Amino acid sequence: MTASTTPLGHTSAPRTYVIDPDWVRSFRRAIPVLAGGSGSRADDAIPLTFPIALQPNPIPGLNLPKSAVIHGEQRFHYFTPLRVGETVTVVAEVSGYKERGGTVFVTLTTRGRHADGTDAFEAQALLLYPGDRHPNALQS
Amino acid sequence: MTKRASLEPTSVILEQPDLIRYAAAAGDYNPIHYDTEAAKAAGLPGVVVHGMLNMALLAEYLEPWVESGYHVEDFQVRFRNFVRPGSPVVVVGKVKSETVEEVKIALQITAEGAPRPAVTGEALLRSPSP
Repeated sequence: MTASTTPLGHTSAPRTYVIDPDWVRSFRRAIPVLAGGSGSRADDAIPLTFPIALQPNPIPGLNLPKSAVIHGEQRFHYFTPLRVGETVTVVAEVSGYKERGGTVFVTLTTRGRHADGTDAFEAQALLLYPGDRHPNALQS
Repeated sequence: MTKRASLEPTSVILEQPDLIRYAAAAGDYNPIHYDTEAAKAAGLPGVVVHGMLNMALLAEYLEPWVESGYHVEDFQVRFRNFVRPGSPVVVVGKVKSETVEEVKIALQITAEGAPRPAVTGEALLRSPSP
């Protein structure tokens, strides 16, 4: 990608998931229980960070160099709870894009909606990676 | 009203199998989390814990509040440094502000002996309806 093109405002095609109970369970079991935690959560409780597993479709014009991407920040806003068994549609947008000192800073905003179109959550990720003009840019 | 949940510091060590289990569950197969060579090629000292697994630990830390009826409305973190598997980290929180309607909790994960936290964050929790 040249410096003059920017994927700012580009969006992904919608992607729909059914929130499978086994998926939620395996996600929850992959998170260690902390000392003092009861570990007695209901089987249908969905972990706060589960929306990260609902990966959106690729965004046209945004080519993230997989292993060179650093996750700088993550934010979730929860409108209404996700429920096991329901259908959720996610759409991602490049809501921020700038290059500074050879590093690209991308903000991705992913909106999750219930089947009836109401908002479930908004996830915002700040990702950093070396741009084309970075002194350590990957030769590919 | 519910009793205020605990915010005691708690220590945890994430091991390599924890990272592999998380990668599979979250669908995050970036090799910097399981392949030492790939991690070194990316300029890291070795494999590192998924940022989102650290965030999940902070969410886990909030769980007693959720169980006592609080609703998490907003939850954000900043990943400031890498966390290595096999090294103990301390998870701790502090009430930043509190009203009848909501509680703001500051959160952090710090590697034992490190001068600064590796992950800092904040959660906004709505109080349970009386």
